[in-house]
Parts: sequence; structure tokens; C-alpha cells
Amino acid sequence: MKKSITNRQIFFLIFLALTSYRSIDMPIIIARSAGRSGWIPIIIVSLIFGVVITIIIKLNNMFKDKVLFDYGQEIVGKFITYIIVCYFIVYFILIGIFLDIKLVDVLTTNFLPSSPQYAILTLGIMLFGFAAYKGITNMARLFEIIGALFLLVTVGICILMLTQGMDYNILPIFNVSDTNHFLTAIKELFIPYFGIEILFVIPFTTINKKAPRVGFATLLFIGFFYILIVEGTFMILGVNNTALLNDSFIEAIKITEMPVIERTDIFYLTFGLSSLFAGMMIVFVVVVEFACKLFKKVKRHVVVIVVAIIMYILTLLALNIKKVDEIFDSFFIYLIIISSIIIPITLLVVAKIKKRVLEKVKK
Amino acid sequence: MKKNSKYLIIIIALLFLAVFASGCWDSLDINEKLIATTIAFDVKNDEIYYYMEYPCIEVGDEGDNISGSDGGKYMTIKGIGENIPDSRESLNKQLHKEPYFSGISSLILTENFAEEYLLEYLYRFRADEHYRKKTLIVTTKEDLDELFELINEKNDSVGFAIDEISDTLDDTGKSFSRTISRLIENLSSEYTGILISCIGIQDEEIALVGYSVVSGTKVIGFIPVAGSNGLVFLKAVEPKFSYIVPYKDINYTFGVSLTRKTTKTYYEDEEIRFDVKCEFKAGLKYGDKKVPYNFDDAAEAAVAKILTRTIKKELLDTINQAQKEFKCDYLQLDDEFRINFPVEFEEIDWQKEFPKADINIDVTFEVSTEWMMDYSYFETK
Amino acid sequence: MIRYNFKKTAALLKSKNQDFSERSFEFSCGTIKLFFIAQLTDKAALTENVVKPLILHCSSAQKPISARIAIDGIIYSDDCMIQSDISKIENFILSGMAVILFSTDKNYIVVNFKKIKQRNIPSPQLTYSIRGSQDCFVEDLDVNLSLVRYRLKDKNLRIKKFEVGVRTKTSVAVLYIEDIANDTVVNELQKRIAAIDVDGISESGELQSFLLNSKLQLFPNIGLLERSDMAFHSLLEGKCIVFVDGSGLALLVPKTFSEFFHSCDDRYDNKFFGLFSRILRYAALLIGFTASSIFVAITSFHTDVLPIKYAISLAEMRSNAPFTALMAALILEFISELIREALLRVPKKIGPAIGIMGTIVIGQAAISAGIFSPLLLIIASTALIASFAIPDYTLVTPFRILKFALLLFTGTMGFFGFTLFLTFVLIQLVSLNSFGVPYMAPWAPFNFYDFIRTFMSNLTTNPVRPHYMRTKDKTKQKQKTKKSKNA
Repeated sequence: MKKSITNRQIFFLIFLALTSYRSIDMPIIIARSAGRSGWIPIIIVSLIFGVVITIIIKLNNMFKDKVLFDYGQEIVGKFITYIIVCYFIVYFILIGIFLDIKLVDVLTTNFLPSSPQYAILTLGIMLFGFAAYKGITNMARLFEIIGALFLLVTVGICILMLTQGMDYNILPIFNVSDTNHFLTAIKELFIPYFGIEILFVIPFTTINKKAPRVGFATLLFIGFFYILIVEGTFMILGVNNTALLNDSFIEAIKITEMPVIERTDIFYLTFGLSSLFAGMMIVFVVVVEFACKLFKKVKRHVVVIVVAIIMYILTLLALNIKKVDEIFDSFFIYLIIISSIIIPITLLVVAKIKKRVLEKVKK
Repeated sequence: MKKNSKYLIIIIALLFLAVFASGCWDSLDINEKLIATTIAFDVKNDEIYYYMEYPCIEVGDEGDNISGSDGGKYMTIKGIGENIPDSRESLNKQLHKEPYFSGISSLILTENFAEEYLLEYLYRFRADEHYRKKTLIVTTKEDLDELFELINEKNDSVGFAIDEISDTLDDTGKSFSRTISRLIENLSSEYTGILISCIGIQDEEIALVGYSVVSGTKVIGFIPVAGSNGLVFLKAVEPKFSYIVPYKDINYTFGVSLTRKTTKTYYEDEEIRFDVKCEFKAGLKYGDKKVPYNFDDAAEAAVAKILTRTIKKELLDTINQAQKEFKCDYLQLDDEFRINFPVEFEEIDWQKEFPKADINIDVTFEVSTEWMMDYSYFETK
Repeated sequence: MIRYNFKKTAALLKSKNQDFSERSFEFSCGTIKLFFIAQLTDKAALTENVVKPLILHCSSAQKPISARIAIDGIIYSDDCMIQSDISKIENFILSGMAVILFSTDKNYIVVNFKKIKQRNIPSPQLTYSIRGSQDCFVEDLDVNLSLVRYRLKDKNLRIKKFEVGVRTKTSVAVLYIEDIANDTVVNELQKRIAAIDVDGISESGELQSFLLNSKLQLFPNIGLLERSDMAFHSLLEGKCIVFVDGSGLALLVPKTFSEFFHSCDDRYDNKFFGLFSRILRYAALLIGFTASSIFVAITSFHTDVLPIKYAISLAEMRSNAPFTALMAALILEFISELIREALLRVPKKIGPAIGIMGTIVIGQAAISAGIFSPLLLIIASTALIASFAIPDYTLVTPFRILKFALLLFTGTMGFFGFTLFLTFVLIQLVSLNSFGVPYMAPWAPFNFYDFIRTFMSNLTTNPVRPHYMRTKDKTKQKQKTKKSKNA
């Protein structure tokens, strides 16, 4: 049976890569930057990244059965491709460390305060390594299941929040004075949208004409998903509480009640955690895929082990750095601009030019 | 290759074993925790009293039982200190198990405590992830020692009793309660004005006795339950009350409920105006005489007029009290203004503007006799 | 080519195998010898159709009798053939055939009058159903093939026979419908069977272990078939069936995770009840696998997910328990597994006594002594009962083992460990395949039509076969398909 990634799987891959951790952070980011009008910057950033993902998908479509490592060499040559791949490996390792820190942080703050960080990391990284070993196709299948469940549970909880919350917490929907903060909000929102570069390791086995539309629609959907989470949290907690509480989305879930079983946080404990894992797994898989391409002679399981050890050590070191969040936030946005915007656009433009030149030469 | 796989499996198995063997750091069975049902604070002689109520789940569970009933279902202990952290430390020294605060149903603050320490404690509450922010908050004028003793002697929990009373009153439209989350949100806003339910003892049972007015970060006043119908109509969800209306020698009892409330906000020439329109429905239940009522359209109109006058007066008195007596917008009209004029709201000082605002009340009634008991069939017999 | 010496061959056969029966027929020009194993042969039929005609013919024969003459004009049998390979004579006799050797001909006749003492066709023991036929497969391969043939009269039904086991030479038959089944699956299956190099196999379970993707595979990707009606339905879905001579259970290939939850009753009953039953079975697996772990997670780690009154009630129940929730859960699950194993092996006469002892000793006494909390006992019992709700028990077996691992993970790290382990299991499940068919189809890769088909509709009345099987003939109902196309 031929292994290929369907459009549905692309949707869930991107969805989980982007929303896994940032769905917890998003209400705080919006409350502190744009307030009640925060849905506008979310839509703007979703549109920007929607265009970016369309560019990446078009690149993949131009080169059937190839990934960045392969078609990059055709476009810009071997040397520059190696530099780009090395850059992406470092970039995704940094993302991986960042997500690991956040995972450990969420777990120790909310659920396991006495458990040592190394124990959480040990078990977590073993899972991520196991997932990475299985490959991108199996990840896509796994994400179809986890993504659907996570989406259903989160949307269900958000709907409960919207029905149980107070509407004056989100009104007015648009305040002119909030527009002064939109640029700051847009800048801060770039970071939750990292991860669409995972498409660079997914080969398109057939020319998928629907994929660009699917990608764009996915980003828009993610934008609406974030808006739902933000508005739900605001309705339950209020803007001030959201801005001041740590992990305000989880606090809002604890307040929301369901008929019969009352508490809803048990659902988020399981499905939310599995989505956190999903975000880490996809990063791990991408690093392994790039590394396997770079070091073709090394066996896959060796690459997985080496990457796991590197991530483990670096994460443990990073956990001891004070204000590591702020350090990441300060330079990450530039990395995201390079990897999400500059590199794909450059590659696409060069590829298109080369294609036209070749066509002219043939004629 | 196969040897390498074996070594790999052995290493992974050892790692798992290492984690498991040294693990279970957060594992603590529920019966090994002291489940707190209520916490309460008081200030006496410049000392803070920290009360914690918990259920006895074992036979012969003994703590510092101030209720004096050994083996009672709920027990209360207290810690005393110069400040909140010290009082908590004092309490901790008496605990024979690790306390569990995520299930607290009510937080009780005496008015003395709320006057000085409300903001400090609420910020402490917000910072601690163990507390559920949906906990109910109430104030009281009673002595907490007496309150806990009275209720614990009956093998009941003060926290559950308050929770159940609040739920019942909220569901039946007789009152409105506030959670800590809502209170903290209000206190963190630019303008603060909110009411907190006040409980007391009536006939040796816990009862709602009124509402404490919070302005800024302090409790500044008290509104008793008697005469607070207008307040409940403006604040509660689906409020309902019974009114007795005398008409033609019969005292008719009506069930009055607010069906719709709309508020229109105007801001012209730096003057704020609210037009509050309340639509009520009055259902005639019964009269106090065994005679035919002959309740016709004219009677309905007359009763509607009486009810309109009565309720409008109650609503205006409530608004007057908020504007003139307390000068505090606990009616949340600031939210209405903020929603309609967000830019202007940021520029003005609501604390000064609210007492000057012009608030108009328009009351309409729909009288229904559908379910009335009528003795008119006696005439036809 | 081995030179044929009649006397020597006959003498060798007799000397090597003392349980071979020998009957000689002398005639004027030579000798005919009949070899067979009495325990495996229908002696009455042999006497009537071979011995008697040979005696009659030999007494008056003037010319040499050859194998061709005998097969065409003397012996009465519908299942006989002429062979010439001397080295195979012994194998034919050992497999239950009667062999007729001729002194005047190097060829010999192999006649099938095999009759092995078998039990009658029984009722199903593993896959009981309310409706549907009650006939099951038996140990005789021919009987099993006959059960399939009489239901499926399709000219495209193919039966490929193999011999597996150097010493046992067990007959293995692979059945499939040629114009439906996917060639990749059929070829892969045949390749794996042909590659088996072992002394012998006696049961389909032993063959199954050779057909797995890897030796360390925990989850079954091959189904078991006990009933003939399920066999015929499976063939129509594009699957392959493997019969092993001597085994009453056939193998079904390929089998996906969701198909383990299908029962024959789903086809015969109302489709809404079928939907309800399938949801119930999925819930049963989930409960059986996770119930104890969720109890441990809530009791020991995440007590705040419980409303306060439930928490107090649970604390009261556990107030005198000497064990932690994890220890108690592990002990109870272990006891459940012991009871399950004991009930399988216990003689029928003392079975009820074991049941009573289990209930009274473990249930009542343990609670009275305060060793376990009543809630945990209810959960463990429910999980035990739930594990019997899955139609194909082979799927439950790995989950019974993994349950303990899940308990350990949950007992160490609460819901983090619980979710972690479940994700491990899920990764393993999605990465499996059953002879090229994704194991978690139609969940992952997701196909909407197949998903609806799995849950909502009656599998028999569906006009289209499942897409993940990639069968050659995709439609089952041509008229309906035409109508839907025209509409």
C-alpha cells in the first residue's frame, strides 16, 4: 500500500503543530496586548500565515515525491540547501526545547508539583523519540485521531464557557483605542504560529491541487479556534483575570461545569495533554527527518537517540536559566520570519524563475 | 544489529525502571488528605484568625475541635497570627494530614476582615493554583466561633449550608451570589463596585441577611435583605417575588417576575443618561377571601397600576441608595457605559460621574389570571 | 529417477512401518499389492470398491494388469490417480491414502478412502450468537472446505493448498475469491506460508505465529474464524481464509482493529441495534483497559477533578484501606486475571463452586475486612465483565497485559503517565499493518464512508466494499450502484 499524506492529515498535522501548547497561552497574550478587540490581530496573523503556507505547499507540489532537502538542491544548489537544512534543524531543536520547557512548566504548575523535571522529561522524550522513529506517515495517522478528539473536546468546552460566561466581559467586540496595540499584538502572535515549516519534510506523492486551499483554510480555522478559546476564557474569567492568572485557559476550564459530571478539567487533562505531546512529537519527527537526510549513512534509530539526548540535555540546561521565556520571545520572532517567510518565498521565486527559464530554453 | 536492538531495549527498560522505582512523588491518596470544605477569616484585637472546616472521615478523628462535639461529622480548627501567612503557619502546625483546598465550597470573611484585608487575601487566593476560583464568597457579621459551633453540632458543614442556600436562592430568583473569580475581576478593573452576599444566623440556622457593599478595595456598607427587592430585580437572573395587592376588599397575592430588562445608554454634552426598561409579569395566585373575584380588565389595569407604582419606587430607591448613599456603582452600569462608549469611558472618572448620572426607570406590567383560584363557580351552582 | 523394484519396495515399506496393512493379489502374470493404514482408512469402502473388484479380476486375468487398466476398468473410486514417483509412496500412505503397487507396472495407483474418526459439526464455543447458523469448523480440512463450498458457489472461489511442516506435512488451504481479493494480500500470504520451515504444526495458532509481521508483535492482525457464515461473509469482503488440517479454527487475513468489534449478529439484527452494540463494545474495551487506571489517577493524584461531595464520600470509603490505590488496583486486577484463568481450566462440576468462592471470599470478605474499597471492587469487576464483551477474544489479550503497564505509568505520574502510555499504544496501533492494510483503518487513515459503514450501516446491505481493502471488485450491489450513478 502506497504511503501518502491526505489533505485531512495535512490539516491535523498543521492544526496540532500550531495549537498544541499555544492554545493555553493565547488568552494571556491577547489579554495583555489587544484586549477585547484581540480577535482582529488573530485573523490578520492567520491570513498572513495562510499565505505563507500556500507558498510552502506550492513548492511541495512543484516537486513530486521530494522534500526540501531534495528539491532545494535543484533550486539553490547543494551548499545553500545544506545550510538551510542545518538552520532548520537548529530552529526546530530550539522549538523543541521551548515546547519541552512549557510542557514541564504546565505539568509542574498545574498537575505534578512534586515530580522532578528530569523524570517528566525522561518519559516524555522517550515517547517523542518512539514517535519520531515511526516516521511522518504514522504521525499523520496518529494526529488524525488525537486531533479530532482534541478539537471536539476543546470546542465543546469553549461552547460551555460561552454559555456559562458573562457577555459583558467580551463587549464591546471592537474598541477603537485598542487599535493602538494591534502592532504589538501581531508581533506577539507570530510566535504561536511557528510550526508550519513542518510541511518541508512531507513529500507530496501526487500533485495535490486542493492542498493549497486546505492549507489556507486550516490557518483560518486555527485563527477561529484561537478566537473561540480567547473569547471563552474572557467570558468566564474576565480580561483582567486572564491577563494576571498563569495558565488562565486551564483556570477557566476548572470553573466551567458540565451537566451530570460537573467537572470538565478531566477531559482537558487527557486530551489536552495528548495534544501537548503531539506538538512535541511533530517537532521531533521533523528534526529526525532532516537529520536523516543530512546523514544518510547513519541508521534512523541512531539519529533518534542522538537527537533525544541532545534535546534532553539542552532542555535540562535551559530549565535552569532564569527568564528563559523572555530570552526565547526576544529572538524567536526573527527566526520565524526567516524560516516561515523569507526562505519559502525565496525558494518559490527562484524555482519559478528557473522553471520559466528552462521552458524558454526548451522552446 | 540484533545485538544493538537488545542493548537498546535493555537501556530503555532500565530508564523506565529508574523512573518508576523512584517515582510516585505526587501520589497521595485522597483519604490521606484533609479535605477543607470551608475557610473563614476574622480580625480580632489586631490578630488574624484563620478558620478551616473539614469532615471527619475516620472514627475517632480528633483535632482542635472548638465545636466541643467529639466525633462530630465536621470539625473546625483555627490558626492565629499577626498577618495572613503567620495565621496560616499557625494553622498548619495543627494539621495531621496534608490539607486539600481544591474542594472549598465557601469562603467566609467577617466585615472587620473585609474592611482591611480583602484585596490582599484575594490576590493571595488568585496566586494559588490549588484553589478553585469558582468558590463562593460571603461576608458575615456573626462571630465565627459561634457560627461554626452552631452548625457543626448539627453534623452539618457551614460551607455546604451556605453553598446550598445560595444555589437555592439564585435558582428561585430571590438573590444573587458572587464567586471569587468575579470579585477579583471586578477588583482588578479600573472601577470597582460590587456586592457580596452577607450571611448570618436566624433561628439557629444560617440565612442570607443582606449584602455588603464593596467599593475600591474595601467594604463600605451593608444593605439588609428586607427592602432589597429592587436590588434583586436589577441584579439577579430571572428574579421572582410575591406581592400582596389590596383591591376591592380582597388582598390578592401576585407572583411577580422580571421577564425582560433593557438598558439604553446616552452620553450627550458630557452628561450620562440611562433608560432602564423593565417588563414584568404578574400572575394572580389567589385572594384571601372565599368570594368570587370577578377579575375583569378594569381590575387588571388597576392592579397593574398599583404594582407598577410599588416596584418603580423600589427600583428608584435602590438606584438612589447606590448613587447618593453609597456613591458606588454596584449595579454594574459602568459595564453598560463601557460597552456603548468605550473611548469615553477610558477618559472619565466613573467614581465621580456615576452619582451624577441620570437613571430613568420605566416599568411595564402584564397581569395574568390564568392560574388564579376563583370562587366564581359558586355563583353558578 | 529411482529404479523400481517391486519386491524390494514392498518389503521396505512393510519393514519400516509395521502399522501399514498389506493385501496381496496374485494373478497369472504377476502380483498386486495394496498398502494402507487401517486406522485412517474406510475399510468397508476399500473392500467393496478395490479389494473385491481386484479379486474378481485377478482370478480371471490372462494379461498383465497395469495401473491404467486397473483405474479405468477394475477399481471403483472417484478420487484416485496414477503416480510414478517411488519416493512419494510412503508419504501417500502416511497421509491416509491407499496405494496399489503393480509388479508389472512402474506406475502405481493412489486411492482416497480416508476416514478419520472426527467429532460432528459442533455449535460455536467462542463466537456465540443469537441468530445465524450454528455450524462451526472442525478438525477435518475437507469438512471445513465443504462448509464453505456449499454456501459459496462462486466459480471464482480459489482454494490453494500447501503442505507445512517437514514431519507433519500438515495440509493448509488458502481460500479467496479471485476477482475480489487484493492480489498483494494474496501473494504476500502465500509467500509467507511457503517460506515456513518447521518440523510441524498442528493448530492454526502455530501457523499464525509464522504469519505475523514481527516476532515481538503484541496486537493481533490476523483474525480467528469459527463459524462458516462468518467465513463466507469475509470472503465476500475480499479477505483470505486459511484452514489448517487438524484445527477447528481458521485464520482470517487481513484484519483491522475495527473488525475485531464486528459480530455476526450485527448483520442479522436491526442496524440500529448493531450500531448500539458496536459502541458498547468500544466502550467495553475502553473500560476494561482504563477503568482501574482512571480510578488510581483520580484517587491518588488529581482529586480536584471530583466534586467535593464525591471526594469526601470516596475518602470515607478508603479511610481504613491499608493499601494505596495503586497497590489495591494491582492486586485486584491480578486476582481478576487469576479467576479468569482458573475458570478456563476448572472442571465443569466444580466451576460454580469457584464462582461462589470468588464472590464471597474476594468480594464480601475483602470489603468487610476493609482491605479494598467497594468502589474499586466494582470497577475491577466491571472491567472484567467488559473484557468479555468483545467478539474476538484475541484482541483483548494484549490489552489485559498492557493494563498492568498502564497502571504502573498512572501510579507514577497520574494523568500524565496515563496519557503518555495511551499515546504509546496508539502510536503502535497506527503504525501496524495487516498484510499491507493499515491496521487502524478506517480511523487512520480516515475514510468517511468506511467510518460510517463500520458504525452505522448493516455490512450486508452496503453496496460497496471497504475502500481500505483495495479490492478489485469494489461494488456488491450493481443495481443500486447504477441507480446512484444515474441519480
